[in-house]
Order: sequence, then structure tokens, then C-alpha cells
Amino acid sequence: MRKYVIAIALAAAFYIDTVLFGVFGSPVFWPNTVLAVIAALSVMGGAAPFAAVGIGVGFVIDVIYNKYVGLTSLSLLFAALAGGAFYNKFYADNVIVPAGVAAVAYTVKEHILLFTLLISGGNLSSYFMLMLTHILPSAVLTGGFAALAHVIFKKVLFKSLWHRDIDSRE
Amino acid sequence: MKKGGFGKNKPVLITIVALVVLAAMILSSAGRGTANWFENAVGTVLTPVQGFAARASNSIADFFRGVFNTTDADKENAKLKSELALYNKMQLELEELKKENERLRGLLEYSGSFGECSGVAASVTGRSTDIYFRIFTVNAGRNRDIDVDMPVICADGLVGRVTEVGATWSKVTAVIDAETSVPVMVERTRDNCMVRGVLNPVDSAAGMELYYLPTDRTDLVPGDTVITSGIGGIYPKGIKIGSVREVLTSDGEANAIISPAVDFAHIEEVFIITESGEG
Repeated sequence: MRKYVIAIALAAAFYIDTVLFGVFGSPVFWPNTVLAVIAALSVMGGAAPFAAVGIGVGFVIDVIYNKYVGLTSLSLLFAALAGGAFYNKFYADNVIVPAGVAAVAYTVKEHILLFTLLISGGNLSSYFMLMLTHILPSAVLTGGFAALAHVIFKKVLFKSLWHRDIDSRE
Repeated sequence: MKKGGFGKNKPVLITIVALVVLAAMILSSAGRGTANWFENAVGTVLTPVQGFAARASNSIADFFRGVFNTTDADKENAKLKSELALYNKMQLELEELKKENERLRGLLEYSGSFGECSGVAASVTGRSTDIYFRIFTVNAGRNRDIDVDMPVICADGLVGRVTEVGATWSKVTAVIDAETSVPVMVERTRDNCMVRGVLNPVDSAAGMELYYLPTDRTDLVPGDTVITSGIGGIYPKGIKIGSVREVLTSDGEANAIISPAVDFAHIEEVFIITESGEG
């Protein structure tokens, strides 16, 4: 049951990131829903399994849509590792942690892509405007989506977190 | 028995190995024109699914637009409500087919406007998921004799060139991609220069920059049309790139901001030139 829910969530996020993004004409800012889902899941379930899932999903996205195969995988791996660093370290109703992890991971991902563009000879009009109009709004949206995903997954997938008391951990 | 150092550091070692493998994949995918067998398999299986999802999404969006645009008279007439909904659906389908027909006719007429050339019409089935690299995926690949570096156009002008080819799909790098440069000519003054894509998240209409302008002779003005010059052998001569939006001069150098002729946010069909007919 849990695996199906995760698979459906990732498929929906994949659809939003790829198909819907194109239907709306590639808007300036847009949440990275796959990254948000991976970050939320890794905060609740640990880094290892969702790092593997993120690498696989990122590979598929890059093969079909993107220029450099592996960049999205790298970004999702980072998101999973960052989220996994908070595994078992917070109260289950804390949505700030997954939101913050997703927002930071998104910002790092964007800078990885920007760095790749610049070292391959690309041209950028203004880093400040890029941050202001694209990276920061999209990071906020991604964090918001991760918070929403966390609330949904907490209820559906990780019921054992409802009554966890970290002070009683051995 | 004490757990060894390897057991303790296993997650770190796995992470390092994963990072090294991913870095190798990224480097190996840069500049490569042909997809490897694994990418081919993934792309061949998933590209039709993705194309279907994109078409379904567009149809659903058009249907809801049609529903909200129905008149008050239609809503009030309960007896004709279901017939009207069916009529709207049929009309939307007809309009969609008419628009597609017009686009394809325009594409064929435009492709013939600069000499004998042959090519393949293809649909855009996907776009890159970020704003840094302007890549389109189209549903034509080696199965339709597509090869790397073939120019891609639409009814409005130059879209880009094929940069990666799979069995049934190809990736097209747009001319507004920040890594792309195209040899061009100003149609009125016949000045040869270059155009390169610029990442400008604020103003998508300022997606290209014209450079290497001969400052001592040029009288470039906003509104001038920029076309491909044919130099370099990739793009046939005479394909519209865009128009000058703003001329910038500083320290004896002149550049210009170019508004692309193609609406890259709404492109749906393209024409891949397989033979340009030029000598």
C-alpha cells in the first residue's frame, strides 16, 4: 500500500513538473514538485530509499526532457540526503523542516544548473533578477508544496509518526 | 565482534560512488549527439506516454475554457443543455483541427519559401523542465531519418537545431538557449553578425543578443529583421530569427537585443529540414 501511494505521488509530481509546466508555457516561476515530494518523503522515511528513487526519477526526466543527463538525479539525490539528515530528529507535525529542506534543495539545484550553464559558455542577463524573479519565488512554492506533501504523507503513510515522542527514543 | 570501519562508512561511500557516477553521466552526456541504448529504451517507451498526457491536458484545458464561455441563454435552457455541451465539444475539436491544419499549412508554405528543401513535420511532445536550457522533445527520430544538427523551423521562423537523436524522438535546442549562437544577417543592411541566446527570466521577449556588429558601418534600428546568413552550413540562408528591439552601443561596440520571431512558449508543431537544397 505504501509503495503504491509513493508511486502515485511521484507520478503526479512528475506530471506537474513536466507536462503541466509545458502546458502553461514554461512560466518564470514554478514549484519543483518531484523535488518537494522526495524531500518530504526523505524527512519522514530516511535518505537511502528516497535517494535511490530520486536518482531513478531524475534520470528518466533528464533522458526525456533535459540537456544533461544526471543533473536532475544529482539534485534529487541532494534533496534526499538533506531531508534524510532530519530523519528521526523532529516532531511529526513540524512542516517547517520539510519545507525548509525542499526550499534549500531547490535553491542548490538551481545553482547547480546555473553553474553548468555558465561553465559551458552560456549567457546570463542578471543574477540578481534571476534570484528575485525565478529562484526565490520557485523555492518558496517548492517549500510550500513540500509542506503540503508532508501533511498528506504523514496521515497516509507514516501513521507511526502521529504519536512519536523523540525524548523517549533509545 | 566489532563492526569494521567499512560498515560504519558504508552510506558515505555509497553516496560518494553515486556522486562520481552521476558526474560521469553528466560529463558524458554533454555534447553527445546520439542517445545510448538505455536512454533510447527509456525515451522510446515514455515519449508517447508523455505526448498523450500533454495532448490530454491541452484538451481538458480547452474544454473548461469552452464550458465557461457558454452563454447565459444556453445555461437557462435545460432541455438543450446536454446537446449544447456535445456541440461545444465537437466545435472545440473542429477548431483544434482547423488550427492544426493552418499551422501545418503555414509550416509547409514557409519551408518552401527559401528554395527546394525536404523535411519532416513533427510535434513537440515535451520541453525542458528548467529555464536554463531551452530544449524541446519532438516525436521524430532515426525512424524518420533525423540526424544531429538538422535545422528546425516553424511557420514563424527558426526554432533551433537537432542536438540529440533517439530511435523515435529527438531533442531540439532552441535558438534562445543561452549556450547557442547562430550566424545571422540583418536583412536591411546585409551586415553579418552573430546572435546568441541570453537567459533573461524577467523579459522572455529579450531572449537573444546580437553581437559582432561592425560598428563603423552599421545603422541598425529597432524593427530591423534578422535572418540566418547561411554561414557555417547548419542553418539555410534566409530563415527569420527575429527583430531588433533595442540597439546598445558602448565603448565603440554595438550590440542589440533581439525579440525572437517564434513564440517558444506556445510552439506545437515544427518542421525538421532534412535536406536544404542549397549547394
